[in-house]
Amino acid sequence: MSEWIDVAAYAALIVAVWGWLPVWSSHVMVPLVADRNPDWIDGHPEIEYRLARSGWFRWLCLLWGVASLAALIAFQVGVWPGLFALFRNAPKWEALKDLNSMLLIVGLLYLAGCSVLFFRWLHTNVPLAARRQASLDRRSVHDYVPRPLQYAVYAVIVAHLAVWVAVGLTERYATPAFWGGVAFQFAISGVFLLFVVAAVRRRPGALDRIFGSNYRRNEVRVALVAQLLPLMNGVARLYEQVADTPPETVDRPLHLGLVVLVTALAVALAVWSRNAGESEPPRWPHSAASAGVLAFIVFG
Amino acid sequence: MDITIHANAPEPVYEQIVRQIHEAVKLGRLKPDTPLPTVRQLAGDLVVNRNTVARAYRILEEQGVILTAGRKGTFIRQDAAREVAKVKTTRAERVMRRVIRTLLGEGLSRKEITDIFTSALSLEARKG
Repeated sequence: MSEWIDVAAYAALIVAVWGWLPVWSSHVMVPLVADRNPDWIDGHPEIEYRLARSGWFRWLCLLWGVASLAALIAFQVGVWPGLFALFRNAPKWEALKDLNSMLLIVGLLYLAGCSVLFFRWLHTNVPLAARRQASLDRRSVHDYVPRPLQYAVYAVIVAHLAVWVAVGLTERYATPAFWGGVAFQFAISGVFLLFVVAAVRRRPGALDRIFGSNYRRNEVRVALVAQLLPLMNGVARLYEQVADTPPETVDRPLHLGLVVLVTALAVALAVWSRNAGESEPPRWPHSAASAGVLAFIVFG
Repeated sequence: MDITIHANAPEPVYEQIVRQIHEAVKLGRLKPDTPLPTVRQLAGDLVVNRNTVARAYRILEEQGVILTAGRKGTFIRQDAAREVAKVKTTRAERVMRRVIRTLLGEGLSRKEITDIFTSALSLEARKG
């Protein structure tokens, strides 16, 4: 398989994450402030304008996107030999994967920093509205996901973890490294379960208003199904260990598949936020993108 | 059904919650066996301390309006409407007894207090 396929997948991801997601973020910032105190934002139109424009944030995202793309292409065509030194012993597809993951993680750290700053500013400068409303309807995962679907997902997850433990108990694989892998599978399944809990528990807010009343239902369903992402990775890793295959056979297509999935989610999110309030609620909402990005970081 | 609080109102937030649940039960908007949100959910959605919601739920439970069934959650009791009505009469009785005690302390007789009450009641009835 040509490395240009990898470059194309990574380039699409870069365009989606650094070109479109910042636009989506700027659409969400004003509703987030209004969610805390609608009267305050009405009285500060200059801040509303600045938040909606979010100039430097978007420009820096774009700049990082261009730099990432340039680095990948330079590496692929070999015009930046200095970069080869970083990944000297790895095959080219793996070096491309590592380079892309490194660039993405640096960029995501920038995004995380911006989020922390934004929420700090929000809590420091925008007073909480005195009049607040809540529903007296109890929220539970059963309200949003049919029970058979829940049971099916959890049965598959339990079966997957049981297979890891069963293989670990056989003499050939009872090594500390393998049991480390088992512990990782348990931990990552737990982390993805937290996405479901968070989707049910989170306070109704800006996203529900932007995307409509069915947003939470879709968010919970996607978060539930997203629990199968670590499972796919787990199955591939187990297959690699048991069948003793080279990483290129399973790891490369799996990683590229994940990249395509995250790209599709990022694009979908950007498109839905454009049509916010006009059309049907999204079928693949925010938590799915979060789960996808997390999956990418974890498995990247 | 929604609940609204005013953080700057003189009435404490927990009392606002209790009052609004009383009203909802009285008007039939919260029917018997209706599940209520967990303390964590309601406190999170209203952005108030969990103890505030827990206090409101405790009062409602003591009044017999809601029932906490362990892990199953909190529900409106079967006889909640009757208990809400009883809460009102109990509160009214408490106020009346306090007034009567004060008036007796000022040296008024039982008959005088009854006459004052009857005339005040008819005066208010005419106004209303």
